[in-house]
Amino acid sequence: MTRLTPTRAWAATILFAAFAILPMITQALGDSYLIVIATRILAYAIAALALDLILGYGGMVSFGHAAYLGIGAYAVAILGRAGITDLGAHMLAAIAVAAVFALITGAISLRTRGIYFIMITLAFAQMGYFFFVSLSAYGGDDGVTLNARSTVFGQPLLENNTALYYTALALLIGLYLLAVAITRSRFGRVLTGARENPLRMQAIGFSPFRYQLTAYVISGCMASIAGVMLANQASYVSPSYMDWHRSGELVVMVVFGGIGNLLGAVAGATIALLLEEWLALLTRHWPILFGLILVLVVLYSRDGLSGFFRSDRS
Amino acid sequence: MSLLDVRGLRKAYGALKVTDDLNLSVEKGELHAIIGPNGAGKSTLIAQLSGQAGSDAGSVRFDGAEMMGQPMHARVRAGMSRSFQITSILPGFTVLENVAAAVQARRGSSFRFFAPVAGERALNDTAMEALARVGIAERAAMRAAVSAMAKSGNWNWPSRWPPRRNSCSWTSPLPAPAGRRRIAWSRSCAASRARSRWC
Repeated sequence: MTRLTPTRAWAATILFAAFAILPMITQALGDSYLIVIATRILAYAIAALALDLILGYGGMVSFGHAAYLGIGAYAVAILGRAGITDLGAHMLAAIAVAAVFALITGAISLRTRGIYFIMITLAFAQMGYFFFVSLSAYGGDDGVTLNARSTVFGQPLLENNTALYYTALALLIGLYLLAVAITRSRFGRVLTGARENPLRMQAIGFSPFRYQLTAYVISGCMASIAGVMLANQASYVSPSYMDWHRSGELVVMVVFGGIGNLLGAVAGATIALLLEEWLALLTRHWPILFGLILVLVVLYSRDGLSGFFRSDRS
Repeated sequence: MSLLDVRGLRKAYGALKVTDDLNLSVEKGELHAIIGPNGAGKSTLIAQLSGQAGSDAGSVRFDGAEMMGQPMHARVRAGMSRSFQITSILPGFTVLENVAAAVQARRGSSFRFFAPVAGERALNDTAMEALARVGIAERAAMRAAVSAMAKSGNWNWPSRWPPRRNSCSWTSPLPAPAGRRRIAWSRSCAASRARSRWC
């Protein structure tokens, strides 16, 4: 169970405060590219947070969470072309479609366990991927460039990169607090219990399936918001958002930060993307170095990077 | 009418008939032991009664209600519970949380997403009471996996249900909302517990 220890509350405050002052630093440095990367980091942090909720707390290893990124991204593209540009509408549509998709695929996937669950979530995500690849009205494989970013109250506020950044940050903080609340609630206890020992939970009168499915749907909805942010950041949408590589990256981020540590998921997304940017500067073959670092982190700390900052493991 | 009424219960694994046309009725307040050599099908019977394993045929009526086809958690809520031969706990939870989770299953909806469950006094108090009754209250904050008692089969019983009136190992003495009694089965039941009214 999650305990919001003072240490963790402090770590969260520091991390989010650092994100909050980042635009001022980039402005002082005159580096406008950094804010673009940072917005991407925030969007992926939302997705990693969503994945960690079911992976870390529910014990469900979804290898298809990129599907929800795609759903969110295409919500922006499709509604945008239809003339609906409001950010709220985009998010609502993304959440609604993600909820339905998660409900159907989750209800089927949750009949399996372990490696089969991983494979079936992957299969569903790939179905989504190929659906959008064949959607020629929206560019098929090539994707489609957005005419404009989402609007807020009819105003094109998000055209400003800093405004988009702070929107993403506000969403991340809100969803982080929501996820923390969920893990500490009655629902969270049942979800965690079902991961620890599903038979025991049944023996005391819970049906793990209902709780796991609900968590799966919540997680999918959260991840779709990340997709909305990604589409806005890039002003471009393509099926590559749903690619299984992307799902793998999300799992890597969660592992990086420490499975079952929501703040770790945020940190994991940050570090994974920064490493990617930085290593890519060093060599074309950066994935080799990235893989090496991941292996070292997993070898030396089962709790990911957050494990290095913790001394109270029992 | 019997509290538990089993008729024509069957289960076969391939050609092996594990439970072959079993009839059994248990009155309220009765205590039974099922004995037999390894492989006789005792555990399978318990699994069938609790809903953990399916049955090929037969009926299991508990307190007048047909339980066949009901999943395990529904039978538990109806008042049938079981314990496990091998200690079964939630290892990452504290000792208190293990018991509080069981209390939670009986009290109110668990589709509550916002209020911190750790602060629910009603759950914790009942759980603490149960722990105190079995003499492990001082371990409440310990993680169940590290609690030395986790290694002993005895640990199981307070976590099954918070016993209120006595500490009978195999049943839950906590009166259900509908006033039903819980009954559970085990390969053995210690003689010292046979005195209990609630078994």
